Amino acid sequence: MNTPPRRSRSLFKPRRVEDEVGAEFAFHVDMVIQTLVADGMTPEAARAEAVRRFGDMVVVSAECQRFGRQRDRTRSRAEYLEELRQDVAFALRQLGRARGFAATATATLALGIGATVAVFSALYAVALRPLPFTEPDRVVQLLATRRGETEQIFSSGEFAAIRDRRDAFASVAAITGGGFTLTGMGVPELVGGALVTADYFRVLGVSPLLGRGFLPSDDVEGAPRVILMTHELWTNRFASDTSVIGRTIRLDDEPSTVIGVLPAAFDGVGTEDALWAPLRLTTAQLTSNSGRWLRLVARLAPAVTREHGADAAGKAMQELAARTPGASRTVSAVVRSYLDGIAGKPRERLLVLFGAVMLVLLIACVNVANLLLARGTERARELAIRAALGAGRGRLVRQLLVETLVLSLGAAAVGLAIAFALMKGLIVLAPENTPRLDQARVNGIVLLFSLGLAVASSIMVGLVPALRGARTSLQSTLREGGRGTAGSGQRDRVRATLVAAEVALAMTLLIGAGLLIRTAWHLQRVDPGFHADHVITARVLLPAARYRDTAQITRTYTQIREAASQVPGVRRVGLVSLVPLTGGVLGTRITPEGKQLDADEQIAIDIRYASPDFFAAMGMALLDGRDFVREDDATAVSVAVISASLAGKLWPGERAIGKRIDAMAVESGKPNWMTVVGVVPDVRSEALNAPVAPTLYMPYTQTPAGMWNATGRSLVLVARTSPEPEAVVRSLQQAVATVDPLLPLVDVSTMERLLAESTAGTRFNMLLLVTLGALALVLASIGVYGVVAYYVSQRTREIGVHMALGATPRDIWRLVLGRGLRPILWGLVVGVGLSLGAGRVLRGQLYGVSTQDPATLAAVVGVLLGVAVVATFVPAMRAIRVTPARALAAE
Amino acid sequence: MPPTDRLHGTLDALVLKALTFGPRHGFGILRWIAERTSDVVNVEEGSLYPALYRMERDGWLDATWGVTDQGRRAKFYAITPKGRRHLASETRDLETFISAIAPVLLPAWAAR
Repeated sequence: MNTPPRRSRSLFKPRRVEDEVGAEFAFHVDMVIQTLVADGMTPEAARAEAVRRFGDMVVVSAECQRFGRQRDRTRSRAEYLEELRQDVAFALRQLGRARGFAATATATLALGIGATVAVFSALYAVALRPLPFTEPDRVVQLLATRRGETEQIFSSGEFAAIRDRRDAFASVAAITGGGFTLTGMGVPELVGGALVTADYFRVLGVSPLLGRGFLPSDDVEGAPRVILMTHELWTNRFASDTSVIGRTIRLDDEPSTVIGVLPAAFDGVGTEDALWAPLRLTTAQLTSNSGRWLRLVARLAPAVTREHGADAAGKAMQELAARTPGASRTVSAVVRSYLDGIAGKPRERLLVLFGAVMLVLLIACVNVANLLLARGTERARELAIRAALGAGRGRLVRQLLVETLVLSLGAAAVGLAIAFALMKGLIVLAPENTPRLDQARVNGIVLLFSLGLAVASSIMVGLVPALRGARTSLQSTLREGGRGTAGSGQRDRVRATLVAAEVALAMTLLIGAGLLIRTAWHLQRVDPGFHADHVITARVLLPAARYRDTAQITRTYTQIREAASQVPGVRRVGLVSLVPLTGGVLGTRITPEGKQLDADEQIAIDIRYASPDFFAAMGMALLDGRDFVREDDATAVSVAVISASLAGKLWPGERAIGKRIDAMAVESGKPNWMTVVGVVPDVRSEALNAPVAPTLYMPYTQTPAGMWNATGRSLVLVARTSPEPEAVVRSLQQAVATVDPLLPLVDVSTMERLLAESTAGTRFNMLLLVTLGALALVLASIGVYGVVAYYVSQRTREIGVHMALGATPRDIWRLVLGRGLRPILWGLVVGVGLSLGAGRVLRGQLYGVSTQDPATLAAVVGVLLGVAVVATFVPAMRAIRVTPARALAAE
Repeated sequence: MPPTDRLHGTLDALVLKALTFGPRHGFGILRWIAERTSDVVNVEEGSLYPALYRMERDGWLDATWGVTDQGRRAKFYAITPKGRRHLASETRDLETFISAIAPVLLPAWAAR
């Protein structure tokens, strides 16, 4: 097994190359001298002649040494590889002999590695993988900070001002989203899309696969509408037909000419947009600073940092504000990477998960290290004999490390298969809107990562046992009859430390899982402000080409509401601009009557348009006053219903009904007085765990024309039904079709589903953390069991002697339980410290629970202790059954 | 392997040939070459030793330190199978070379 190196090193060989060359040359010169002396020369003359013949000895020697060193390097590499090959072959034989051990260790590590690789591949796909843009690092998203609140939208004037900052931005583009209604191709269909300025694709650095991109001339007022589409839409709806270029399709009933198709790589950038048309901002819009409705993306100029970009954009906004009467000057800009913009939140979630799986992997490693330590004891004799046969300590350590490396490489291979399956599950379980997750693959980076994990875990697993194993002395091992108890006291300590580490890691994970369970529990009890059961919602959009006039728009919606109320099973039906929990904000600032507030002091609110019966349909009980009525139309006095929090903010302790509010009209800047007629509960517009925003509801019949454009002339139909809400979808569709057969119903959902989706992210992380926590618990309890069981098996004789000397079973209990519980208690102490740190990482995802929640801590400590006691109990039972006779028989 | 230049190649071939009759030390190789070429070819030490180290590095030669008949410590070289293969190919190349230039430079010798 330990064959000597093939090339025998003769005893005479000088160790260093320079000595070797020197000795060889000296011998040569001596031989020449001998010959010359034999031919009759004097020794002195002969020496001089020999040296002369040799030539420049320094130069020749240097050349020989160079070749000699090269030779030694090649040779040591070859020897190393040969030894490695032997080690690998030996490790395979050893593992083959200990099948049970190999299977347990491989399975444990494979689980850890598999879970880690699966989460890593998701993390990589979502948050680390570069976007398919040219120089993606320079592509940024701009955000505006106004009075300490950060928002995504800018005014068109701000866009123009920022675009002119050529010193900071190579190009800037504005986007306004929504979608297009595609008609003339069967059923009218809403396709995700956006209106963008001509530079949009220049900002991203993407060129069309087919056709051309937008030109500045496409993006001016009155230019015929042209569109670009994604590869996916082109494939699915146009059968990859290249003749689509130049074809005219109807979008929102406006003829639009297809000018290009984007490359397939652009499909997966995390937005749902599939069509783009130029925004065609008018000259008036480009100088107007009222109304914020554009999102901005930009490409930083070369060598410009994000901070510098934010500075430049902020300055441009402030200069514009200074020229705009009444505008707040406390504005600044934030620049964040485009990737952060689309993947920031899911990245945070996935990082938490990644931390959790790394903990599980660590626990798995500790478990396998423990197994190896036990095995090391059994193998102490073999190692001692090999050491006696001349294997150096380094060689033995390497041999043992190679064994764990072989083990963990095998585990990584199995782990990859596990990861493959887990990844599929992860994609299914993850919140639906996680960007780019569907593109998670096992690719080169993931493979490299797995390889790295395998090497890292083999070192973690193998180093301590290997160093320990190699230290085993021949004498003590053989003297103890090869029972392998050499240094067993020390070994017990190491194993106890490992168990403590395992418990601490498991505790950290369980605390995280516990905090998320508590968060989910709190979310369950949040009062959403509405009754979610039996409510269906569906958005109706009125295409701009056919619905331009405000009166016509409101008339159509009134007809739609009437038609929908006739549908059997529909009890109450209303319309609203935005449903709770679906995100999307239309904000403005208001002033209560009797106060003079400048731009900075006005109260920021969310604004909604609603019809009579919306509150009833949504199940929002009126707290005071009345609902909107049919008579609140464009000719009547302007009225508003406000949320409870807004009422409290405007008139604390007073009744709000009958008071007046000024909401500045977006386009005119003139006062727009509204009388409060009702107060309703607060609802959350983003998610259940988001703070409530003060909200003002206006009748849709009093909506200014400009607002219809800002909302894309769309309202959501909200119906409270007697049967299950899904049952009425078809009838609702037919009812809408009686008003206009070309109107699509989109975003059809139920409030119950929206509620569930709103907490999907939290539930996803909770589910996975609980699963991982359970896995950690199982691994940790196996570890505890292993240590105690091993202790008992090693101490059978000692226990027997104790019993013979009169120890009661109770004493033995105490001895064994103490042995098992002590490391667990240590682990719990360390675990408290660790979990406080880990809790901080989770903070952003918690709701209604502090990172140091005592209830969670108590529950986790309880669970861990309980499991540990059970894991200790089983071997302890065995210990008290030891009889002196059996203990001696074991010898 | 790039064709070594003619001079190097010939020296290598001579050294390898010397070793086909058994291991020798450097001095022994020089003596063997001188004897076999009737003292016409006198390889210099400055060429021989670097060649030996180079061929050892390349695995054509294998070296061991041993003791001479006179009881002196010396480095002995032996030819390896790889060295033998190289010798064969070098010899073939030399043959091609000589049969190409001989008719030009040595018509009389070539005609023999």
